[in-house]
Amino acid sequence: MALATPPYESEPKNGREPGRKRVFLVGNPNVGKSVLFNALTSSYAVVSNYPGTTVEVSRGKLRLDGEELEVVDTPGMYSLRPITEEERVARDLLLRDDGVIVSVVDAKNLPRLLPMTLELSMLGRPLILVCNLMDEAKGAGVTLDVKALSRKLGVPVVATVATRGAGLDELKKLIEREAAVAGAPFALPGPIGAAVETIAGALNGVPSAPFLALLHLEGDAAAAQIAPVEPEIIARARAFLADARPSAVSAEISKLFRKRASEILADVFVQGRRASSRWRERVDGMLLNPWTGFPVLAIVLYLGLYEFVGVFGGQVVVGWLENDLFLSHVNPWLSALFAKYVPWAVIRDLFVGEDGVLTMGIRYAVAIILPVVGSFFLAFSVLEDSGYLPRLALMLNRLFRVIGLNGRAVIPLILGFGCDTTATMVTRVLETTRERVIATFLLALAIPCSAQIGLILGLLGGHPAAMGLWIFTVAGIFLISGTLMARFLPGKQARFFMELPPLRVPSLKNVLNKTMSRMGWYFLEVVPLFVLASVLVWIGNITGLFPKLIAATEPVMRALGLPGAASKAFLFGFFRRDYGAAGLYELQKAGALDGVQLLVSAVTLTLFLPCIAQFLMMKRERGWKVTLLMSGVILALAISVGWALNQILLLSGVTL
Amino acid sequence: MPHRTEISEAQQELLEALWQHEEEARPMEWGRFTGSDKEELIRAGWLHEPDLILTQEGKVQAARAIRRHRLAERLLSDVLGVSDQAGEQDACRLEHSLVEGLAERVCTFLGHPRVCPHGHRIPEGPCCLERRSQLDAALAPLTRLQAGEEGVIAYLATGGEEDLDKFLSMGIHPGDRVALIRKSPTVVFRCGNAQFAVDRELAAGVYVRRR
Repeated sequence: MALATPPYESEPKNGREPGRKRVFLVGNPNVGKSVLFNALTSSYAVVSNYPGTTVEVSRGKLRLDGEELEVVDTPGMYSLRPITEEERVARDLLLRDDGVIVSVVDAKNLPRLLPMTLELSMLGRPLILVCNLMDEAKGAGVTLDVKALSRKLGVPVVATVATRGAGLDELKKLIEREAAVAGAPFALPGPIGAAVETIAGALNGVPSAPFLALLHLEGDAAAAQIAPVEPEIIARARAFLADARPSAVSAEISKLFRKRASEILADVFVQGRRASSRWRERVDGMLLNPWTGFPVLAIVLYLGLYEFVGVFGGQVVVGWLENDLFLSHVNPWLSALFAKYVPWAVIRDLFVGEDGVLTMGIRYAVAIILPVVGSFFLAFSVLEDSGYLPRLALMLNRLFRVIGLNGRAVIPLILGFGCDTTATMVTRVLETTRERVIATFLLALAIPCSAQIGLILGLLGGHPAAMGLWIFTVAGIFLISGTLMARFLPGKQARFFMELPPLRVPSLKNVLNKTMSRMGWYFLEVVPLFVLASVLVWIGNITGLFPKLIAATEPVMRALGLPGAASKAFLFGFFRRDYGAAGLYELQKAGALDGVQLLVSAVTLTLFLPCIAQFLMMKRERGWKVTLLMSGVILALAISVGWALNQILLLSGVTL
Repeated sequence: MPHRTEISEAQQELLEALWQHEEEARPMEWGRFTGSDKEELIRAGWLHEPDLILTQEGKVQAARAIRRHRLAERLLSDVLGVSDQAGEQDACRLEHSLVEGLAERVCTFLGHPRVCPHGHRIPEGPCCLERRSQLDAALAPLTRLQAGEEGVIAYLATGGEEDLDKFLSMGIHPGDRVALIRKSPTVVFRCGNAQFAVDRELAAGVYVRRR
């Protein structure tokens, strides 16, 4: 799952629940595994039109005639020889389990994808092949004889259009029937076959023996961990081979799989003339051509980000919720209620005081942040499902190489504009640690999340020059810090390689589902933090600590040219950057900040430390050392950039 | 070399083995060769006496032999479609027939390939150094195709094993038909019913037999 990982669906610590049969959805990226998962179970996994949407394993329950099975949605992988981290996670999960494997393929690309199903059959487990996206296959001029395919492959096959539910009943029936039957592994011919048998024989009783034998032949480290074999046996097996170097063995094996796949598909998969879709090709051409692609990007940003998220979400909806609902109705009503029934001022302050849990914490979360985040997620979901993002990745590839990344990093960084925390997790789709470190740092430093963007659009809305300078400064810091890291971090540049999914018309149902699921998740994550912040402020006020902290940070505020009152907003910023921005929003409404001060505080808060959730995610993905180092650098950078900006503006005498 | 052009096949094999040992860190199996082969190479001034490493001149000779061998492999696999295992023996025989001039012609015909079918480097010859326009070559890297042009992948000559793996694991192999869609800002091509976007550097290693 990309953006939303509701806690109840994420990977439990030890992986598996004992005693329940499992069904694994396995296959290439972007073939519709998550759509199938959603259709089979009552859970929701995020579905998007680009490879790498699912970076974490999701689990859900499937009820079949009185029996409950666990369905596992795995991150997409191109083969059982992993290149990226998420592929490795999926592969190792498969190797260690014994459930039913449902191999999901994109029917129109069967010749390229069938070899992996043969590879999966070597796991010696119940196997079902799902040829999904049959509607697109038809559009591409493909005819597929499903019965013949099943007969020749020796594996049950079902054709589906998962988005419309076609073929799902048959799939459920197959899962029920096949759950107990282990398929016969594809037997490799010739010397390799003999070598595999030798090792598999020594692995007697180990599930997936033939596949593990293959891995041993290729010198894969995971095989030695899962099921070690004595070196003599491997040597005896290698003696069958003319060229036993691991790379030669891999090449030979993949050749055999491909050969068998093309034999199977000979009369089964017929490629006719592709019915060309004129509009689709024309739009695709426009998106891929820089001369038209960049103007399209500008329009998308203007309409989607500025008009929809900034103006509609950040001003219209926020204005309505904040002023008309909370400030004029909910808050007075709550205050009156507490005044009537709660005699202790201290407790009243906790809930309905100036920084109260209800009057501030919940109000910030519901009235200011949620509309902005919700409208961003809605706009973003439409973009995701259209297939636009991979095309953007391709266009920005060259620019991204300057900052030590490549086009692949476009998707996690753009996700950051939604929520930096999940984006930090999605950096897993990047191939090298170096790229992941750079992307994590840039997300923490210079990518404001949607809540922040919305608030900053609101803050700077009346000052177009300040807004321009804000974008310029943050983008500048992004490019400079990226370029420096590209220069000084060790390691080499990873090459760009990405499958471009077809352009698709987003389905309203999926867009709404996804937005709701992400908003729900975001809300659950945000509310406790805001409540916690209110409680801490309350404790701080009672003990006199909070005023002292504010007093202690006031010199920093003065150095930035800001009024002392801004330090409260900045202290809130430690919890979440957007929380801090919400505090500024209030100051600005009170008229306490001029244009320069608004710009300086907006820039400083944008660069500021990420929220606690992102901090914890960074720790999970990168470890303590890297995270603490990054946080220190970011804090120093944010304050010094704010200071320098203020000095420059003061010296040049600009008013904004 | 003026004073010595004819050497036995066994001596050539020894030269190649030594070159691979020194340049590619392969294990050296002295057992495959007779003592007299070694003596001959020392006498020709190609092998240093006590430490048994190639001399400067020996290296040049060895690189040529390797080049002929790997060109022969390329020729067999790309043009004649002979498979690896059988091809290995044929290549050994064929390389000895590739006299200098002929090797250059084969190299040019193949579009100056940079690696053999196993992914090992082919040392450059004079023809590669003065490498003329390759537009007419029967084989060309993907980046030299015109937008809309189709072809069949002949071989993948990408820099390191990892890069090669990206193509292979995505199911893109020699023998697959591809069509170039566009070259900038990144290379986009179609393979089967799917589209892929790759860096220029990666695309430059995809050699396509034009139709």
